[in-house]
Amino acid sequence: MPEKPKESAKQHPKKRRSKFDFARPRKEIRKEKKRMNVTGEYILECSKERTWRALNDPQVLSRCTPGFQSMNVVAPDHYEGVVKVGIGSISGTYKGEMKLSDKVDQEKYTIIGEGAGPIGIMNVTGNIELQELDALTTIVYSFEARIGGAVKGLAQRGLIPIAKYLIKQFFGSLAEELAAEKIENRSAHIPETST
Amino acid sequence: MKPCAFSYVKASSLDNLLAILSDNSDAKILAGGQSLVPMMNMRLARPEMLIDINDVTELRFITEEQDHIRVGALTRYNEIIESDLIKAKIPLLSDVTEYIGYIAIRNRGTIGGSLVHNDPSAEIGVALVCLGAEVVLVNSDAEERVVPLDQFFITTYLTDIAPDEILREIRIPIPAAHSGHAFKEVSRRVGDFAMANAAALMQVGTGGEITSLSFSFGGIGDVPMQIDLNALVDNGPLVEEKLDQAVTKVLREIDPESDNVASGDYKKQLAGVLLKQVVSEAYDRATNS
Amino acid sequence: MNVEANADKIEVTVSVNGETYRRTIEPRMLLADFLRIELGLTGTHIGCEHGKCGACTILFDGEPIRSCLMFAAQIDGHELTTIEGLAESPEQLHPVQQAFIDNHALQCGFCTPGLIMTSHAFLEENDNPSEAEIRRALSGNICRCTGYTNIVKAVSDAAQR
Repeated sequence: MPEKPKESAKQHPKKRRSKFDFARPRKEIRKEKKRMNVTGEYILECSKERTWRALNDPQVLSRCTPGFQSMNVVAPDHYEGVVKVGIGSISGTYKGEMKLSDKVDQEKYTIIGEGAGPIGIMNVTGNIELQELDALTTIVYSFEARIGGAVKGLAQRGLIPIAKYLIKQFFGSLAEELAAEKIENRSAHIPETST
Repeated sequence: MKPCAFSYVKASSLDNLLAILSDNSDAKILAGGQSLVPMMNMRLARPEMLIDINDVTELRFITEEQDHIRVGALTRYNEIIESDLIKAKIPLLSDVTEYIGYIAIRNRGTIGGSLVHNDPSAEIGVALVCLGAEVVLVNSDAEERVVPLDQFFITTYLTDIAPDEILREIRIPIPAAHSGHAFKEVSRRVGDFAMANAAALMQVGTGGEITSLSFSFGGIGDVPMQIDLNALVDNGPLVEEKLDQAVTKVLREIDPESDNVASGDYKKQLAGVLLKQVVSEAYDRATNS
Repeated sequence: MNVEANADKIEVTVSVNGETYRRTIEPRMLLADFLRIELGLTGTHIGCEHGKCGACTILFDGEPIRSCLMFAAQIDGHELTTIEGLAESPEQLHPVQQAFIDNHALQCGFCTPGLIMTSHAFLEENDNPSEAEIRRALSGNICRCTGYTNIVKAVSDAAQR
């Protein structure tokens, strides 16, 4: 039987009075999603312009995503995809979608993503910002994820380190792509020696 | 919840195990099951096939070589506790294993299983990182690979083991005679996941100065991590001020994440306290041995 | 190379409390469920299904283990002892069981089988334990009713019997 809210909670029925609010009904606690923040930066040996181009190219994004399976473009900057992620013995196939918005050309954009799979569901909002210094571009990222479902409980210890690891893998692949592109471009532009 | 359906096969020997693995590299190894089965019961892990290796007796051994001890991956925790060889030569390992879970867990859980599972505060992982152990992996083509433990741990719940490899044994260098060791753990109840733990191993010279010191934390980083305390080595006898300085320095370098066991700030506080206590205890043991 | 994996049923032959049983079960059936459902031995209780509460503790080849963390497929050829196997007869209970009753060491009784199996195995190894040793040995079993005081008394008492 659902518990009756206490007297003082009547005015703000949804507001939690304190961490030890045991009067909250179980169902509400279970449905609540865990919040997780991951921030960091990654330095690429590449110009801001090329980095920006790569980060807006759905093909590049797909190639760099760890565990990428398939993707289709629903609309410009709106992608749907399937990703298979496995860490240790926890692995699952996730269907998700991602929207890029609030774009400031060559500077930053916001990502809003949603993913669902057998062990949980996740809503992510994040910002990516590019800063250039000399020939290096620093990508500053900050994500807030809200996790629900089975993963929320047992695997909590691993979620942030694993998220960081996957993000690092993504940027590592991106760096490799950009480096390969650079070599390609260079070899295509070998000047012909004049006779 | 009950686990998802899976295929089950029992390996009868190491060769048999590697043969099965070469055809089924997606399969998950079932050893003690004390970490895997809870995840399967919650349906977080859904392997399609389990290879039961509990009959592979070739993986259960504790033998002494010239300068190190080899422990088979399937060796159960209670076998480690009861081993006179380990108690005599690597007492840090015996001590640490007493802190793992409860009797029922220690009767089944295996040292190899713990290392491949790679929980950030796993007591075995913390002690073995402190001891400078390495792991021997072998794949289905019987090719061996030796990896130092701190490189084997990549991030929480992720190790360098390939899908077609198994962890065969752990090689632990035998600490020098008259070493001092210590291990301390803070957890809510006996046997719970530790909020933080620390292990230290040191040798002390005749003048009371520390000649070598190895120290590791669990539950602080995303894997058991080694901490550089070289400031205390060859620096005269251990006194409180030097220890406090070392603590301040280390606290600046670590940045524990909050998790469901403890908050980041609390873990940082625990780290400082544990460092001091564990290093002091190891020092006392070394000077009195 | 005899490598046949079965998602289908597996046959197991096991000795439980001295009697041999042969059953065909799915690989994913937990040992605790096997005992309760297949063999009707409902004395073993399932509390948490992840190894923490200890209500499912039984003896596997004489050693206490969590039956919720083992699959029935793994027990082929082994010997199990459950709570039903301790007493000589309904009139003649095992000393540990009798001590629990005499010292009022159970209320709802949900944790009791696990505690008795753990205590029994513990007392086989240590027949004159101190209170601290008892508490340490029973640390893997959770009880919500009693507050543990009487349980510790019961184990001390049983050690004398």
